[in-house]
Amino acid sequence: MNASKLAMPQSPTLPTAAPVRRTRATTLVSWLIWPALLVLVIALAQGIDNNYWLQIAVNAEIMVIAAVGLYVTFGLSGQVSLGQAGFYAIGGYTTGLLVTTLGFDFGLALVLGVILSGLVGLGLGIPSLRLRGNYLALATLGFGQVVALILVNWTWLTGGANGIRNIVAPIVAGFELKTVPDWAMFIGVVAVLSVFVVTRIKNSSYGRAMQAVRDSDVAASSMGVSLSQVKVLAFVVGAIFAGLAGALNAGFVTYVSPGTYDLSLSVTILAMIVVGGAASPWGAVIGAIVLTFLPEVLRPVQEYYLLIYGILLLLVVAFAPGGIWNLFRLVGSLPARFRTRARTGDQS
Amino acid sequence: MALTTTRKTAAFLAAATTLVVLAGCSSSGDSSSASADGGDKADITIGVALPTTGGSAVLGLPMAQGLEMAVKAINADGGIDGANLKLVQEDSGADDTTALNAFNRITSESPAAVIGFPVSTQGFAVMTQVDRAGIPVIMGGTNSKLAAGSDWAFSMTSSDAVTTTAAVEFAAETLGVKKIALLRESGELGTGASEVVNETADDLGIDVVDEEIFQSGDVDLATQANNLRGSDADMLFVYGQQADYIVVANALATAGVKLPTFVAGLQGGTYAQLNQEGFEQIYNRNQCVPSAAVDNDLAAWSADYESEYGEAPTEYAAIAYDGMNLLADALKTAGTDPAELQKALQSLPSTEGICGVHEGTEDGNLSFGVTLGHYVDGVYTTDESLSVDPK
Repeated sequence: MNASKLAMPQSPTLPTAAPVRRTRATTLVSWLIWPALLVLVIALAQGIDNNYWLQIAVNAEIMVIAAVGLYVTFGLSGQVSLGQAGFYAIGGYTTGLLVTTLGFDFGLALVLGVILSGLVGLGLGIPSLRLRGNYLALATLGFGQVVALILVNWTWLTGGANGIRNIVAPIVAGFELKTVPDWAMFIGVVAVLSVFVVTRIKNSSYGRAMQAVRDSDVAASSMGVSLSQVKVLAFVVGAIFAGLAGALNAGFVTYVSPGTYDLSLSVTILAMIVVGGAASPWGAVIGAIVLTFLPEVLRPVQEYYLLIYGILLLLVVAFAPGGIWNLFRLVGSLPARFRTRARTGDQS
Repeated sequence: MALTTTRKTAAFLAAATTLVVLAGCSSSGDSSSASADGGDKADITIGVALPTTGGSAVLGLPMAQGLEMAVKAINADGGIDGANLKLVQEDSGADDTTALNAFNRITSESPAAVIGFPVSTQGFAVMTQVDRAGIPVIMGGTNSKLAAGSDWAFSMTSSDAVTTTAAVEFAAETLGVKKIALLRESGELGTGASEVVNETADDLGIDVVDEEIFQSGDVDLATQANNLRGSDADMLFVYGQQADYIVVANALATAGVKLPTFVAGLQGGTYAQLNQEGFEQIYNRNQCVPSAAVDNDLAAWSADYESEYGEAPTEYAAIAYDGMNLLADALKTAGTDPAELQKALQSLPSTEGICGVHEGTEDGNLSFGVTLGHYVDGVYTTDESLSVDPK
């Protein structure tokens, strides 16, 4: 045997040209997916003629925005937040108040609502820097409760328990959002852009720094990563996207009231990440879609649907701890594994 | 290891598939039973949106039974010009989003009208969709601004403005009260009541000497009770959920507050659990009180209800029964054309239902009856049954 023959079995990988081609193809697909998704959401908005399912789709699009935001906070940087409902409420109420009491255009009110959510996120993120794990979760839980109490008790500002009505006639950049398909299209486009932004954050140096902090903040710090900057940024991004989702929801429903922004909303958004998969923004997207549609799909079983919904969540957590996204990846990798095993078997 | 993972994955997929199939089977079962109702003419679909899960299910479940009784009686009586009414019900749950989804799902079934929504904030949440759907929606919430939310919205419940105004007037004019205090929850019920109590007291020239607020579900109301003891009130008005009243009674008793007290919407079952030491006398205001009805239509209906469902009817069951009959009256006059049906509801003549007086109005309010009473040795005694002039 000569040396070249000996080297062959040690390298069961494909020849070097193939990975290069695959990388180029992957890159091309990763860029083509965005216009494809935009076409998809517009086609769905125009194509779903059942008003009920179209509105559920709009709800899912709103939740996608909130969930990918929390993905940055929780999935990327490992900070548990149970206060997303608070940011969602700030976005919704700010938009509602500016439109109904000060006569702002919906678009401008939405932007201001998002900015305020981000600022509040900054205000909460800085003092929470010293906290991690359960303590951070408790702090954010407290924040959500404080916002909920303010919504009920500051009647002079928030309308109290009755909320704010008639957040109507939104026109965004000359585009009037009148019908449900209009809203589905607009929010769908915003949702796709949100996922795009989050994937860019993930692949940026900030995203890698966040992952480093999540995996070991001591190691990340010793490598020169600014813990405070990264953690606060992750928190603010989550708050901004939650505020954006809340503002869009306020415009779509035309009504905000404290009952919407309770702890269960924060838990649901967190569950979307866990069920969908915290390792990728696509996990958050899948989780948001699944957990928005699931209760509606289970409506026919009436009083049992909450029970079944809960059991399904438990099954996912028990059998697919990496989330549905990880399950998809596992299933998708099975053919390659079989091929590898078969090749290894042939060679042995 | 890989085999274990694959097995777990397969188990998960099998479980999920089973549940989806279960959901599908249940759905097909519903549609076949609905079509079995058949009559000579096509059925008229009425959407029903009620909370049958969550904290407000205590309102929704009796209402569903009240609606069912009404539809059974209407269909047995020949339906609407030979067409049977068919109910399509969805759970409006405990939050605004679920209520909105329930309404959207119902409207995809093309109902002639929708009835339900006993929680006012859920009614407000669906209001834009009510406008978009363009069909009459008869709601059960008590907020006085509910019916004004849309030209298509109607209210089958005597509003807080009607019942609370009557209660304050009764206190001032019949009982001679000059100074009142208010203990209320912070939610939509308490906030709306506060506005009405303060406005009416102002109109009648009596003083609201103290107003204490709690959050529904609070278990320690000692601060509020002690503040009330320090006030100079002749009478107390309490607004909260049924479970709150038990906490309120204990807090008042502990603090030594003992006043004649209006406990809004107090149900018989709750009354039995109250610490009586917290009250000098318990008054109540309702649209009607089925448990106190004697020798009238409400009493006869209550007996039928009890034999049908094995439990005493609630006020909301009776309200729903009347609401469905009002809708049937409008359908008989106008048919199912939405605009005609809307006009017919607005023009309903004054009638006496089992739960008070009803009349169509342009602002959408359909009910104007109030029953005021008090408890003597555990038995509810009616003081006044009156009808507020809708004009």
